[in-house]
Amino acid sequence: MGISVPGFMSYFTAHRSILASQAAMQVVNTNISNANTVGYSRQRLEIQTANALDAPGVGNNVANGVLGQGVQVVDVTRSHDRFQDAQIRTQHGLYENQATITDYLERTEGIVSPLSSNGINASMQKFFDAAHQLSLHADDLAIRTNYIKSAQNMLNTFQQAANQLQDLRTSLVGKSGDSGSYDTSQTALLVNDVNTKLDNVAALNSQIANVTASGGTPNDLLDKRDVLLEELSKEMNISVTYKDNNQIDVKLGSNILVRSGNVVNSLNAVENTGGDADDNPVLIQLSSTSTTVNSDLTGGKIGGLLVVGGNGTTTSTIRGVLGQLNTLFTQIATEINSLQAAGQNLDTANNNNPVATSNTVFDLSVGTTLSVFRYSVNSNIVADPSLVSAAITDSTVTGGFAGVGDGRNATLMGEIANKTIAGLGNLSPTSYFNSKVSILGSNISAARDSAENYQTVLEQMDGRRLAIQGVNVEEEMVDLMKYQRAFEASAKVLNTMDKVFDLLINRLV
Amino acid sequence: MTISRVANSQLYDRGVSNIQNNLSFIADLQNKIASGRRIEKPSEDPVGATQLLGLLSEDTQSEQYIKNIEEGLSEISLTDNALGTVGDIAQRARELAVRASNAAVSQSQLSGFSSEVEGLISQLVSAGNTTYGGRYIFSGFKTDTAPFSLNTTTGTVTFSGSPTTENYERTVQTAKGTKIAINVNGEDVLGNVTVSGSTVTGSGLLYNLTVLKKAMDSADYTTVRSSIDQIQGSLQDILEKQSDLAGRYNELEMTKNRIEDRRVLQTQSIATLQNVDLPKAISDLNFQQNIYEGSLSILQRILNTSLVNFLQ
Repeated sequence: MGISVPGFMSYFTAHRSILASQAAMQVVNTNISNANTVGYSRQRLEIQTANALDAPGVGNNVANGVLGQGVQVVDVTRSHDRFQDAQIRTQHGLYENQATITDYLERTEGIVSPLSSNGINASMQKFFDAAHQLSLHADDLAIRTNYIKSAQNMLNTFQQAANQLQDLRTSLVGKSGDSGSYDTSQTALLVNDVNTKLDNVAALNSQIANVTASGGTPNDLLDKRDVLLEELSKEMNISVTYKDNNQIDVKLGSNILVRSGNVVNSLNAVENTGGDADDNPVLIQLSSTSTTVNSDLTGGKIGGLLVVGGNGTTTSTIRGVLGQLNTLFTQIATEINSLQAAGQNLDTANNNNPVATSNTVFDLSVGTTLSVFRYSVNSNIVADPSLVSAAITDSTVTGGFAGVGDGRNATLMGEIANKTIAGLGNLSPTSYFNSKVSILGSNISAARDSAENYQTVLEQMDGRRLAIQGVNVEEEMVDLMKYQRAFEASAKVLNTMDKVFDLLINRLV
Repeated sequence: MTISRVANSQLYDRGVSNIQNNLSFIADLQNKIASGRRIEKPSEDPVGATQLLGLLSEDTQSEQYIKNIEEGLSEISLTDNALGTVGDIAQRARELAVRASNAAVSQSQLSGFSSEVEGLISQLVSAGNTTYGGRYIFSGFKTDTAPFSLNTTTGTVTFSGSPTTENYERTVQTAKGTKIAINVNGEDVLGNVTVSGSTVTGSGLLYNLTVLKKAMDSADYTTVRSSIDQIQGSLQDILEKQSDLAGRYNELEMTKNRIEDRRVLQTQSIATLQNVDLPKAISDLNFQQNIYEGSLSILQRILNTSLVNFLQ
């Protein structure tokens, strides 16, 4: 079979080959340049054989597509696996969620500082010790003063811890009655950031759709959008649906946030005016319908903040710990006050009986905040420690007062440390505190363990993803050499063809 | 996980993250070795911390109970001391009564005996007014009031401490729900006496001695003789009180020993839970350090190795 080759076709074939080699080297160049770029997907030059020509032969019919025209560049694609992206996004959400919970519960634990020698339980123990001391030396004014000072110290320690817990919580999720605190809360800042990212995703969607519709593959834009989605998934739980022209929809639960090029719903962090004295956390609402979506926000940092700053009871929360401190102090104060009212003091003007101004050790003022914030040590007793009812009202004694050496009521006060109190779930104050901080500790440790597990899985997934989309410089160098050689070979072909034509045109005289 | 392709950034990231992990292990060990504490926060070891918190609370309580007991022990030994003095006084009075019961004793000798008995009575009063840290130990709850006051003109001794008809026992808490009384009632020990002209009424040692003195003054040998037995009886009462006190002393001391024995075990458990096992921590540190150096050297090699080095 004889085939006739169009005369100058070889030039074009060699030219195409040179162009393809150059394009390939440019792709290698881009890959090496972006070896350390976050979210970059390794790009590949898609080449295929150019359409073959129909070549008429001598003495036969036209042979269809037998004459190769060399190579042609089809596209530059990225090595990417969108299913891995989805898995990694989920894993990021889980990790950030648990890490956030761990972080803030650890701070809570630091505030409660159960093993510190000047923490809450130390101050409690000192108070009960002071009561025991008082029982031994009820007639000693210095010991009475010490008792009152210890009461003051215990209250201060509780209030300080409660204040710090309250502040921590306010900084995370705001506090009702303080509208400014919602805008500056961590949750609101994250929500703002989410909104910016949603805008960017929508904008990228439009650009990607334009490029794709015109037949191109916007690799870099796709990479950028993937990075944004991954950042978003660290902040909250999102789901992504892929659509025509490489566009995506972003959803929170069943609520659509981004549809193609539009942000359908951004998120608003608003004050929880329906909150009670327990300071409900910030409400997060959809911009279009003002629907509250707190219950949908279960993942990522925002989900973690809503858990640790929320009112939930299934795991430890700052509010929960604050409530426990409040309960503990209130129960101790109630027990001490009832003993104070029932006992006998050294106030001879009132026949040793506590009167309205001296029948409490801890005064509770009226208000709506947690009681622990409203307690104060009775100022009359601070001014005159002889008003402490260290003695019991003794029925065997006329008038009930047995004498200045009677410290039996103080013994009862000291033994409250061991008394099982119904309001503390039939635990003693010491056991109550110990059991609550143990539960907090276990919850932190569990959250930390799961955060670490998620991180390990995340690293493995990331490794698998990098195996597909990461750049290996050695590989690129080999490619570079491969295409360099191809370029050289094509140039050699061109050179050879040129000589052949030179011979045909110039030397044949 | 098998990775067929390895991206360079992965190598670097892994290397750096391993170095950071290893360094954080080392920092953790450093912190533990430097502070000597294994658990700083419950979340580091929830199970251990739960035990530790319980033990620590128990330990501080034990400490308080021991303080209470020591206070009780001091007061009881002081009371016992005072009772010993009272016993000596009673013994001396009995001797005097025995000597005075002999009809051959002259009037002047009798008046000598009488003034010695008078002296003994005022010694009794002063023993009864023994204080501990400024508090009258025989006054019951009225620790600010001298329990016995002697009217030197009439010889009447009145008791103003907590009367036996009222609760008078001061107690110390020695354990949860357990209290031990640390005082005796002054009136129970010394009694009281009212002298109105020639009539003497009252009870106890004070009464007996006053009766003896009056009998000596009036050379009433019969009464002197009968008061020997009376004083002997009072002496017996005091000895009984002393042995009762000794019983309580022993009980307190046994409780203290028991608490201290338990504290030794508690302290050991606390140490086991809270303290760092130093040899282990240090060998862990060495081990970690080797791994850390390994991770540094492997990264150094990876950073230096590239195909680029071999391409001319």
